[in-house]
Amino acid sequence: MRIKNLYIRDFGIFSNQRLEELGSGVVVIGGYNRAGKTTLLQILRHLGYGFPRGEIFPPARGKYDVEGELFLEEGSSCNLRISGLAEPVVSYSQKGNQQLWSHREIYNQLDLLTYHQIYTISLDELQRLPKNFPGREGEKLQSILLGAGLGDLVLIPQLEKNYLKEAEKIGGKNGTPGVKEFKPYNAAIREGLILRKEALHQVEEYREKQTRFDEINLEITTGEEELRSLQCQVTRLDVLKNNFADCHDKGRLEILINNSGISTREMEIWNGLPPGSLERARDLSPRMLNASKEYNRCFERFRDAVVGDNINELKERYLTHKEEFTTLFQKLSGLQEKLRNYQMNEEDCYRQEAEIVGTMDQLNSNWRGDLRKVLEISIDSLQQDQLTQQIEQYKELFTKRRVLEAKVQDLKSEEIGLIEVLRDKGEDGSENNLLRYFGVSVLFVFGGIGLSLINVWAGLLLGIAGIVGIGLVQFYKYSTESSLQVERRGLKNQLISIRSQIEDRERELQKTCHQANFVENSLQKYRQNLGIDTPISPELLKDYYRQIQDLKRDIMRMQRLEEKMELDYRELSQQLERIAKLMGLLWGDNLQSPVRELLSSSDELFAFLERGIQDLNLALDLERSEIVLNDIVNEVKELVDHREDEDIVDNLDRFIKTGESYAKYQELCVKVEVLQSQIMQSLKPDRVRDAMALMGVEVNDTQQLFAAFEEYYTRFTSVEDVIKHYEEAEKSINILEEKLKNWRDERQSLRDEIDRLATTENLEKAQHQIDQGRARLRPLAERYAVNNAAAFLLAQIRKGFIEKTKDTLLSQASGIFREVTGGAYQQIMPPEELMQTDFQTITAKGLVQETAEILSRGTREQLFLAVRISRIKEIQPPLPVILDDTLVNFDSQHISRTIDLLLELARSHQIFILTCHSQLVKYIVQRSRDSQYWQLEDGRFSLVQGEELVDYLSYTI
Amino acid sequence: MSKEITFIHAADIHLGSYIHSTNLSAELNKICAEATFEAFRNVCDAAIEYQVDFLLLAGDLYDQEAKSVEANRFFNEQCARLQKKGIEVYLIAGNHDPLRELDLFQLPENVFLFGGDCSEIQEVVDQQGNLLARIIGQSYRKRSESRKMYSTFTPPDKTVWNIGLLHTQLAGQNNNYVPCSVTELCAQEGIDYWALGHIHQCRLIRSRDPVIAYPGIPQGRDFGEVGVGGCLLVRLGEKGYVSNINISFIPTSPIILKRIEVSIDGEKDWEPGNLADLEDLITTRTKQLLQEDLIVSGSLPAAEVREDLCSGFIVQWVLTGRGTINQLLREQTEEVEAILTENLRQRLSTFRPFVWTDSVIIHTGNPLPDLESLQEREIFREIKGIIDRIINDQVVQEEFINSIGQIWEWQTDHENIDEDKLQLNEEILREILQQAEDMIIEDLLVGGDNYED
Repeated sequence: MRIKNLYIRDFGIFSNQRLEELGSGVVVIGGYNRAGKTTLLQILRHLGYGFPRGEIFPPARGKYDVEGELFLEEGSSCNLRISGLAEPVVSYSQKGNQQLWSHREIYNQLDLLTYHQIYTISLDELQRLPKNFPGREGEKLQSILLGAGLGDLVLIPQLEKNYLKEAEKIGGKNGTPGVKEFKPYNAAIREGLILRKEALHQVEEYREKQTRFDEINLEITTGEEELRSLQCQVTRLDVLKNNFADCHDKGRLEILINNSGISTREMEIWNGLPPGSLERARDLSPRMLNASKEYNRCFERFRDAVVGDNINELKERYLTHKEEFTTLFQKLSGLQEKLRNYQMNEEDCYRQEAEIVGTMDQLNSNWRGDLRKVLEISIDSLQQDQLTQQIEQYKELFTKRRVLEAKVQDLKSEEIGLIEVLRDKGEDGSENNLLRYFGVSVLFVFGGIGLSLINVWAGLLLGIAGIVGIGLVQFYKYSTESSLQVERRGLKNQLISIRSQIEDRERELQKTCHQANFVENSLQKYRQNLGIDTPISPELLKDYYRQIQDLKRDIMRMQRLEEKMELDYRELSQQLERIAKLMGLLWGDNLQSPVRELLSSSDELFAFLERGIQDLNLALDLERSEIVLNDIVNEVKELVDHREDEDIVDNLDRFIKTGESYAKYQELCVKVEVLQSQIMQSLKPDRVRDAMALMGVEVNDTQQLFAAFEEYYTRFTSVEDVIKHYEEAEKSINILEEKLKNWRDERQSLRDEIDRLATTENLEKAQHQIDQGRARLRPLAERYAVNNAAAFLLAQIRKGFIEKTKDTLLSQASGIFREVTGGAYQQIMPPEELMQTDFQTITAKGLVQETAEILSRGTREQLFLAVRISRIKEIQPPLPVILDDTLVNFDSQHISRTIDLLLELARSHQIFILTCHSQLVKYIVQRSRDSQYWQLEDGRFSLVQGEELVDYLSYTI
Repeated sequence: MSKEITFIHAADIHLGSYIHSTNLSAELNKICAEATFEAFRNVCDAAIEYQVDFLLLAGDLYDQEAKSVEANRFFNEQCARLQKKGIEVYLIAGNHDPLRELDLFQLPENVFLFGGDCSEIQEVVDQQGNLLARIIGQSYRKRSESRKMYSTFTPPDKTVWNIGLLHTQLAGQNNNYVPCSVTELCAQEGIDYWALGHIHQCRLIRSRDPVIAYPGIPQGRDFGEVGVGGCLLVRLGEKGYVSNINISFIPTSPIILKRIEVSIDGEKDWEPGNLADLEDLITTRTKQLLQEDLIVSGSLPAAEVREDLCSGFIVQWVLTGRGTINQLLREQTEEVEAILTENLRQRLSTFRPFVWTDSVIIHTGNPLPDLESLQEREIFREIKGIIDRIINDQVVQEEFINSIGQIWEWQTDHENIDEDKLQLNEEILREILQQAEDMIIEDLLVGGDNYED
């Protein structure tokens, strides 16, 4: 960009000044002091930026009004006008397709300071630190001078500081977790970490408690087992204590059993015998003795009773006829009775016959004692009944005839009486009385009628009396007549009845008489049959008949008795013959006596029989005793192992003896069993069984249990020993129970503790605290990090620029400086502190000047000019450069070299050189033909030739 | 002939550790406290559902900072569930739960814990006693392990699938977590599948010969572990066929952490003028979030996601971009962040799955009039250049990190952080640099203006 025209309508000394067609290269504006050079410098310096408030400018008459017509790089042009303190306004005269730049863009976006410092160079700008550039401003200047975007770099140190400061405020210099704003959250985290550590320790603690819990559980289990063992021991000892005496007795009895002396064989024998064998043997022993005695006694009695030596044969003979004897003997009394009866009947028969004959003679002497005649009379019971009936009939008919006769007589008398009564009833006087009475009544009527004529009332009364009397008469008459008639009819009927009865009785009387005659005839036949010659009364006939009948019965009874006697006789004979025969058989006597003799010797026979019977009984006793004895012996033999050559009694005694030994053995065994049973009873409860089992012995069945208990018993010497052990065990139980209680308490506490430790509450709480702390720490840490990161980035940028300036940035400035100084200085270098507004220089001899301060003023100005020209060259597109008496401190050589440098720069840049020094203008005139020269005098511009300006300025000088 | 086996490869359960979000509601606090448990339950559910032969846990079952009896109990309960289904669990101790500390806990019967002194081989057999696979593993003895323990993982033959169970950072230079490289693992003869643990992102390093895989963490716990966590369902068919290796990702995390950037100058013709506008902007973004596919598991196919898997999101909203609202936001940044956070919590409280605003971070800037020309300015080019160097040049980066204070530490080891410091990673570094750059630009502009004035 270059300024084509400049119109200064109102600014300081200038009023309506026009600089038209300004040169594109060097434009020299020469004037004296106060001519307006510095004012023009300010105008050119601010043309693209306006006049900022607060900065001191020469006053305007009205308001600042400056306008420049600018040629832009691509060929277009525009106007830039500043009015007052407003920003410059860009206007384009030709609006086409050209790009419309803003005033900033026209000035390459360079800020005012940069433009000021680089492009508008007065002596001030060529100082190390220009005026009013303290602190940060100086750094900015340095960045401006160094260029390459170091405009931003100027902020870096401060920003870096700010960031670091901000970061430090948050987390101190080092960002240590426990400082500044981090501190509370870090503390919370650390606290959380400690809490978590403790909570994590819970697991170890839990394990420890769990281990202790397991240990104590084991202790409790062991303790409980021990307790159970002790309790079992107590149970065992208790049982043993209670059964010790029984155990002792049992032991004693078992010794007795072992010493019972019974052999094994005997034991076996006795074991094989049925129960009660000993009692049986004991029973047999006296029985056998008694049977033996009885047998001997019977034998002797029989021997004494019978005749003969062969007692057994005799006994057998008796026994052979035992039935006969018995039968006969059983009949003996009957036989004797029968014999006695026979003899009595015989006498009775004789007596009856005599009585019958006497009675026959009384009844009918014609029979002459001939019993047959009586027997021939036919008298049977029918006939007797008929006779009795006829006699009774006869008596009844006779009585009836008499009754009938009397009855007829009575009836006849009654007939007569009735007839008389009837007669009386036919003549009655009461009727006459009535008639009289009737007549009186009629009279009364009529009297009444008559009286009525006189006295009505009296007549009427009398008349009524008469009428009543007539009525009464009539009523009485009627009732009386009717009852009499009835009575008379009754009497007549009665009479007829009596007459009829009389006739009936008479007929009946005749019939009765006829029947009585018939019966009389029949009775007559009975008389004849009975052989009664003389007539006798029916009553007598009846008695006779009964006597005959009785007689006949007596005769017949006697005859039957005789018949019976005959039978008895036969039977007696038969029996007696059997007795006789039996006697013969027994004693050899043959009684062949006739029967009669037998009857007469019956007593002898009977005596024989009785004796025989006695002997038989003796034989039977003997036989019985022998059988009994044999039976017993057989029984003994069944029981006892008997040999024939042995004495059975001894054998039996021996048997009994061993039996008793065996019984005693058995008794002991039973006692032992009872004791064992009692002990077993004590062992029966499950707790006792368990207690015994705990000793490690088999107690699957009762026997094993008892065996274990017996073995246990043997461990103790006395009941006192047992009690001592019992008490010791009880004591141990108490101690152990106390221990177990304590263990259980501890276990419960441990359980609670374990439950508490098993929770994750503390862990959660700790973790929550840590997370919370970290969550709150994070934004702080991020802010800290971001600030530090920004500072870091800026520091890196800063370092990078230092490197860069060393190598490239100042190389061009070095060349310019070398040229200006004529090679006296070779190189410009940035300072150690980049942003320090200073440069190092290296002389041709290689000396390093650490700071510009040590350079001469001219050299220093040359240095800063070189740096600026270098920057001006770098910045594209080019902008106008303004030099305000910049070279005054240069010597001629340096001016000359600097002018050459500027003229070279003027190829690309428009350069305003404001000066009051003719020499400088002269140098320019000598070296450049293209430069434009303006004379400035009191705020007025005039375009002049170079030489004119030299002269103008020289003149003045 | 090798038989087909199916197993689940999980790692870094960090059972009992918490989701590091603050000021949660009581309900969310409970959900978050149970999230790692729930995630492991999901792992076990998957094991049961897919009827796997066994479950591999490649270290860090417990978290060194969250060891608890409850975690141990829960693990035992889950293993008991697996035991009922006949599923064995093979476990190695990692740097968080080295053997030295793991012995505090009781292990269930169906869990085999590899020893720490030398590698051990466990043979997996079927019900008939046929050998199905071998698992070779070794536990950490202490919190760091510099032993190249994988070099002793030598199976006796190749007849069946041989699986190496290792907890490593897979970094040759890292001596804390079994230094090794992919090449070294590949060179280990006979191992078909390297079941790795330690890195909390799901990574399929190699898909064959041998397979090298990290399942990642089943439940992320902070904004360094964002996204859906899970485990790997691995089906190995007959050996020798690539197609017989089938690996899929099973998502398990009930809670998904997200760090979502919302730009205030994303719209061409609109920018938020006040906080309400910002909330609207974030609400719109939330709706988008809920419609997005949850699973981002790289090249691995994902198993079917249970509808009820995701309980919700915990989101850190990062406001970026430039706009006039920045002035408002920057006046009192922390207060504004707090207000926005609280308002968003209220506003998004009805969304299901829940969307909980963990925090709002303001990284916005003032609008710049002519950004392009600014960017051409020397100093800004310089700044960019320096930032590039910080990011790419290790020396400069270290110098930078040293300059941002001891409160920060470079997160070389995500497993072993100093919690009273904040951890720096590349992302945070970039953010800090970005903010620093923005701040410088603004300040330079302001400073420039001041000069002009």
